[in-house]
Amino acid sequence: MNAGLFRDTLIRLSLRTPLLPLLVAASFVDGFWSTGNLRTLAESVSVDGIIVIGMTVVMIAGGFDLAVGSVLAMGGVVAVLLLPHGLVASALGAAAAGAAAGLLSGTLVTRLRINPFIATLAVMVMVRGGILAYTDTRPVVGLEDAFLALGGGRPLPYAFLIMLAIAVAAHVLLSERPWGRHVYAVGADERAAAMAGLRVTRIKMQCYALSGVLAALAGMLLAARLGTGSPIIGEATPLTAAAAALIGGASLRGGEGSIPGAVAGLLFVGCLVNVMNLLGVPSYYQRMVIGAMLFALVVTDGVLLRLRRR
Amino acid sequence: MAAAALVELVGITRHFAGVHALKGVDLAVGAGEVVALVGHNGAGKSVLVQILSGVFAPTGGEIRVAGRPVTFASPADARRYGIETIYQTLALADNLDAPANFFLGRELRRAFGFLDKKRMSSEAARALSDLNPNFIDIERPVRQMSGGQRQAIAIARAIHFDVKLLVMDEPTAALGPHETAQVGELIARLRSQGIGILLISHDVRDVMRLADRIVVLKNGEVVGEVRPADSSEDEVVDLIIRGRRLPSGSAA
Repeated sequence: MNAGLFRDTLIRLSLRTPLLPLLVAASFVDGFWSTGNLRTLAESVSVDGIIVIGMTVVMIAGGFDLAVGSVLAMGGVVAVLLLPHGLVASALGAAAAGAAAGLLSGTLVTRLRINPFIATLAVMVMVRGGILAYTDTRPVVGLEDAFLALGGGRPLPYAFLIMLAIAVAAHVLLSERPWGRHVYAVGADERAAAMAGLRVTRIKMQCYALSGVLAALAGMLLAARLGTGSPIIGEATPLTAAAAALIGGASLRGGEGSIPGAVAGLLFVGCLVNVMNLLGVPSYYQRMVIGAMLFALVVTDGVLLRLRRR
Repeated sequence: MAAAALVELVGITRHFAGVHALKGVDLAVGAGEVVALVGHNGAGKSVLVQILSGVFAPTGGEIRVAGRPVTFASPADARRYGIETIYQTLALADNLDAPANFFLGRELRRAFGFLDKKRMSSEAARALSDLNPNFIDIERPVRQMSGGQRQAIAIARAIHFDVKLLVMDEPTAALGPHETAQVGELIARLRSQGIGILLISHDVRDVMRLADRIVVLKNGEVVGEVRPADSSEDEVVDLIIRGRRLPSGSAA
């Protein structure tokens, strides 16, 4: 990437994502720049970040994934349950469960042509019901040393580094490999993509599977940090992930968005939530704020579309 | 034709939920031959195009390439046999730039499967300037380009990759007289290179000028075939409308 393009990207991101103003405002909040708080921030954005990456890929392909929250919880539970077989088996098991959920969503969307919101809503409820039933609504506890160590990391949490590595890999996949081109083409115009010889169904399935795998791995990292796999976490995750992806330039119409944008969007949402926490805003009000922001983003998206059509 | 045709359709049928869109169509295009397919809306032209380009599989009948029976599971298969289609809708991804659309599905790669963006840009630029010398600034989303530029991309990518049969679905429908003339020149040039062309159109005058043979489709059946040299516009129109030739004045 040359310097000019880098600068343009930076300008575009700061226009769409008012991260800088937020950081300036945050500076006036007591304790924002403290090491402890920055670590908390890094921890919170790393789990959500891994999910946002998957969500963004699905959205570029013209879909949506509401199931990421329950798959996050499932990933944590499965990872903890498989801990006796070792960390690798635990990670592979979580990933496989996530992939299965994603493939189910993908099948509903492609073969049965069900609207992505409805299809992934169904998968979301099914997965949540399944893990609640299996765990009898109680968290499963995983106290293996290696597992708990995965939840730590100094000075930066391992989860944060893993998130950055996944972000870089996803960005390269989207912008430097044929597959990424195809995802953008499918999101812009499925019919045209099919006529150009792309395997639309397979590509969309892969996107949903990727989102499922990433959400489940995020769940494993969260469980490692908490020492438990909770069947009830991640209820607001689809909300946060969608807000971050939309702020970062993705669109509900598909064909648009990028990983750097999504990460910037996520940092914005993460900082906002963090500042609200520092200011003592109750969590239900926080959800209202994020929800209102999502509402505003969706409206903006619609207005932009109408302007462009003219 | 003595030798096996480039591409041959034999007894092609296609049903959609009980509707018989095609009822046993035979059609052959030879090398360096321009065959026009004409007919009303709903005659089955676009279904036939989509069968040839691999979008739909036929319900019955056979597709032969150089005499050998083939099946297309997808448009990518049809392309592999050298059958390229320029759709009326152009089938471009609006969010991608010209080189990305040009190479969509057949991207050039560097080591380890990474996109070779530089080579794709320069090759696409060369191919596009061949068609349209004024075509500059190709690296922006094609959404921002003019209709003529968009069509140039669709044409350029169809003829760039070792095409044997070019299927053109209403290539002049959205064009002005000047651009229509250019499409005519292009067809003549491709024909002289031995490329077979199947031209789908509803403009009989255009077709009389460009085609070696005109095949008339009506209600999913071939109702007649004429050579422009020994036929008239009226005769073709009559075939399209009534499904048979004028009772008098027919040379055949």
